[in-house]
Amino acid sequence: MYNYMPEGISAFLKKRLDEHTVSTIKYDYGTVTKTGDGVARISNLPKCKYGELLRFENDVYGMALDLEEDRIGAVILDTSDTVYENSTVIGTGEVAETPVGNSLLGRVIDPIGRPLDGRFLIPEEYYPCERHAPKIIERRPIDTPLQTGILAIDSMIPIGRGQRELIIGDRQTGKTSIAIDTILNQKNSDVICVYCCIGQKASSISGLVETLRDKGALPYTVVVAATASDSPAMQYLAPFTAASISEWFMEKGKDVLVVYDDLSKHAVAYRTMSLLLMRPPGREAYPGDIFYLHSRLLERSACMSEACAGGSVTALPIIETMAGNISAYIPTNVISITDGQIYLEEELFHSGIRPAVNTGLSVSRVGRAAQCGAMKRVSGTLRIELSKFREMAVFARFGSDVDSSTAKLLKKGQILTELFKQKKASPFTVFEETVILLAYKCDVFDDIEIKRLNDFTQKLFAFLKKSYSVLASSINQSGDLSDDDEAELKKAFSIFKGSYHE
Amino acid sequence: MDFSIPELAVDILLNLLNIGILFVIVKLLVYKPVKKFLSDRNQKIKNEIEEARKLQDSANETLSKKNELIEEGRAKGEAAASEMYKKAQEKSDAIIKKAKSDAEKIIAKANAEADTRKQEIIKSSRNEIADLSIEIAEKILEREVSKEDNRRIADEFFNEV
Amino acid sequence: MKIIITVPDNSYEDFYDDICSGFKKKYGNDTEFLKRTSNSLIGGFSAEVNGTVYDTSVRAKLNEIKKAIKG
Repeated sequence: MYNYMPEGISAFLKKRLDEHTVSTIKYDYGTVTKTGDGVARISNLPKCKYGELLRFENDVYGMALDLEEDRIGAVILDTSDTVYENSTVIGTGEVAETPVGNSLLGRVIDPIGRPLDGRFLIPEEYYPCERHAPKIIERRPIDTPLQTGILAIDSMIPIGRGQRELIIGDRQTGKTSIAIDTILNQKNSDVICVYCCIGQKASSISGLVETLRDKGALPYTVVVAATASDSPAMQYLAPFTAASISEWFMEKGKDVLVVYDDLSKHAVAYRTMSLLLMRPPGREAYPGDIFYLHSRLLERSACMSEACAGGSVTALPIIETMAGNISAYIPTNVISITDGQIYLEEELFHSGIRPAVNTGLSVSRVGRAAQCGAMKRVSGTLRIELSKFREMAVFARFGSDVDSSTAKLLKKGQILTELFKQKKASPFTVFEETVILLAYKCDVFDDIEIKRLNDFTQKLFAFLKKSYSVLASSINQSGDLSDDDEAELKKAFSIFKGSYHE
Repeated sequence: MDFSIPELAVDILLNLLNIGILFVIVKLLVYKPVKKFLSDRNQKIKNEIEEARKLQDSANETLSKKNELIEEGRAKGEAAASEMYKKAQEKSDAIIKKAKSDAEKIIAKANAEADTRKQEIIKSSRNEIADLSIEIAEKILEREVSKEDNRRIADEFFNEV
Repeated sequence: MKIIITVPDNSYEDFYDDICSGFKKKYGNDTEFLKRTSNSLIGGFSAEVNGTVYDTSVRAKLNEIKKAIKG
């Protein structure tokens, strides 16, 4: 890529020199009248545009976000305190941009495109961070599933490519784990992943990147990181940068998964910025346009029509609630924007049900259109069974006598709850999910002890992978389950069960 | 001696009666106990023979079971030994494989670092050369810019604007 | 209208006057002018007009070239 000989360097410089034309240099300038807390007030830049990048002295950049008649309020993007009163500010005429392209895969960058992983970044193109969402006519209905590898989600709350599915729950309930497991499960598919960390600890981000690297997920992932020590302006920009990066891939026809972790901290950073810019506070001190902030971000996730290259961006925004209160301001805002939510409960988490998905309150508004054929066949009545089980479980707790049909319902519900438990970073393939649910439907697990279910399923997988590997790979690839396949699997279940011993 | 026939008959009859009584007494006092004693003895011998046979059978069974156990134990021991050998082999293969992949990772990392270093050097060389060239140009122009040049710059500007 | 004009130290006497007359033609005769000199311009001049800076100096051009070739 690089010619290491000196002739190469001088030829490169000469070429650049030839391409440059000398013209009159003209720029707008203003003066800093007041500065502090990451916000600078500037006078005398009459032609400044909204969102324009301003260059302060010492090459510090800021963004003009407040345009008044006689002054401008700008947020400083760096945390350095080297902006002085009466210093000159030059308007660059450009808006905040981010590098985009294939060279970003496997890299960790900050919201204005500077690499954080110690290597150079040579971007192919630059996209502005704020862009218009795709128009209505350019979109198509969602029809392709995005496999998360988590049984509870793929069977009852299926996610399609191009959907926005919110992951909402209290702290330490496994929200980030679900997002990471989904990213890890895209290893053998063509989905590109963008992970946006907003306001998190640098140590957590580093641990996350290591996990992605160890599991081989980093080559198809871009990490955009705005740590808790970055300025509110950087934390505000981070998700927009991630959206622009994913849009570049989408416009090339690829499917992209973007995770915003988390939008609660994004809202807090925007609130900080708005209060410092003296914008009037609204409910919970958030500015009046907090809804618009998230709606314009999430609208950029779409499923494009064939005429527009047919790509898609699936968004998994994460919101942290306090004490399970999903009727707070920001959670209700984002719930009304997204196409469904995955609700994680602390009680379920502490009682050992992990992932702690509350299937009653979780919903996917795209639904069955986003499920592959095999899952559609085997997951028909799961939600209803689980909700009936939950109703009846109250009676069982009081030790009351139940009739045989209720007893069977309770037993099946317990089996299903146990089957939905899954270890972290162990996604299931389509074949494994289909096998579990088909076996459940055919009552294969009914006479196995609950605590032996995991062992039974693992041995069943091993047996099927050894003796039915052709069937396994065909189901994995096509996602369909024909009648013959189903009959073959049922036969396999009875053979395995006969030979299973503890 | 003169015996009359009736006295003889009575004698014979009395003798017969004696024999009869003797017969009965012998049967009651001797024949039955002796028969019982003999049959008891017979039974006892039969029992002892039966017991001996049973003991013999049981001894045979125990012996054959013991042999079986020994055989089983030997087979298990062999199987365990070969299993352990196989596991040890697998483990050593896994260790070698991991060492190889670790070595490859280290080499790849070192290559990537060398690449980065090279790129850094290139970029900093480019910057230094650019700075140096501009400095040289400045030094020259400081001396060379004339009155005519200044006027020309001003005229160009006012024509453009 | 106030225009601040910065000229190099070693420019010829009438350079400033020539520039002022050029601006007067554009903005009218009642514009005020303020003269500043700077050592670093090398050649040309720089004018601050109404919040916009027009910089025709050789120094600025060299800086632009440096930025362009450094990339």
